[in-house]
Amino acid sequence: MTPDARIDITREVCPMTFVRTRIALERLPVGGVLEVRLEGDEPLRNVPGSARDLGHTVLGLEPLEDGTWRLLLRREGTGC
Amino acid sequence: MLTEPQIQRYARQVLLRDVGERGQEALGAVEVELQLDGAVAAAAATYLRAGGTPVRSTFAADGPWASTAPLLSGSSAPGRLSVLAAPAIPERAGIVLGSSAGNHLLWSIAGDGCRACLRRRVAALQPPQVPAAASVQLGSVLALLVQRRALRLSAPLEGVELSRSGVLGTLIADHCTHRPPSLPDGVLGELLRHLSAALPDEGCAVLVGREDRIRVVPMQNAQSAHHARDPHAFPRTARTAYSFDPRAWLAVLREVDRAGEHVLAIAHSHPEGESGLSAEDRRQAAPDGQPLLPGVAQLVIAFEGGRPRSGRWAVWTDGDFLETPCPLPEAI
Repeated sequence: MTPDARIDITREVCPMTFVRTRIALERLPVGGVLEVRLEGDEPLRNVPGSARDLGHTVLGLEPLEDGTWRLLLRREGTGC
Repeated sequence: MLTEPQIQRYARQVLLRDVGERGQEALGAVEVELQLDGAVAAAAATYLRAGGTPVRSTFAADGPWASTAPLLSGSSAPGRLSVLAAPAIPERAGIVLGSSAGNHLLWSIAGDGCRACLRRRVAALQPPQVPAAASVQLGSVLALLVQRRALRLSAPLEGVELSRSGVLGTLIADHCTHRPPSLPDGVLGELLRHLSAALPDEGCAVLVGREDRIRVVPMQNAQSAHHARDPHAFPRTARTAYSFDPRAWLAVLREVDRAGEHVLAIAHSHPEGESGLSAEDRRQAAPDGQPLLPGVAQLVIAFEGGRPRSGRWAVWTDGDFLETPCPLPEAI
């Protein structure tokens, strides 16, 4: 799946990891797909759950060879 | 779009469910005119500016809190919001702060909120007399009410009370009786279909509910039955008058009471005539110059050639029914 936008939060720390993700989601149209590159336990634990709490859909989460993760989120109309 | 410095400064606020980037922009797009002085105003201004909302104070010079001036996004026409001491009433969106018997009350009103409802609530309040110990708490609540208004999370009229013992409570404005209820097209369509079905007689119905959920209770016009039983007391038939069957009306009132709803309006039709209350309607609705159903609006729909032509609301205001048009949907 080709995302509509990509962000890399591997250099961010909490709370900026989700701040970046939330703003990127808000800037997408409803139904748009965001790819988030993340690294480490904190964002892995928090970012998918926080996005889901706002009503967005987690489409996938997969590890990459370089040790980072690729998270795919779909922006839903109920969340912001 | 927030700039990078704005994202950095307001990060923790942007995380909040009701804020986000758009909410943060909304917080920066209102300008608060603080017509209060003292420690409450200073505390409120501190919280608001730190949260990204510009504050102009008409009393104090910018105090030490000015160091947290908001990072403005350059909105050219900010929404204005006034903060006033009771019993003043803001002309636009705003907050009124007042005291009563040692308790402090804050009422927040939208730009199009009902002034008459607010006036009724703040008329007995004194200008705020806030002891120093309560100032910061009250100032932060004031800031929160401003932010709720900026984020469009507030009801048209809502309030908070800080009791003399420091307990916070929300104040709910019960339904407004100064304005006709605002009817969704679906509700109005259902009403018009019911009134059409009664033609060539006058049709009647009751509108009940709460402001956010209104429903039609179709009523049968009992006028012809009254006329048949006692033509002397009821000279008109259903062609030119309407009345409810008392038992059906009582059942509606009981049901509304049980559901925690209100009777919002009585609606009836003029099959071939003008919309608005007729002289007879006025006499029936306010027999002794006082409305029979205080706080209940009247809606009259005029038909022409079997189709609804126009509608008018009548709301009892300052000793008489004040009429305003009720726009009808194109199709029913």
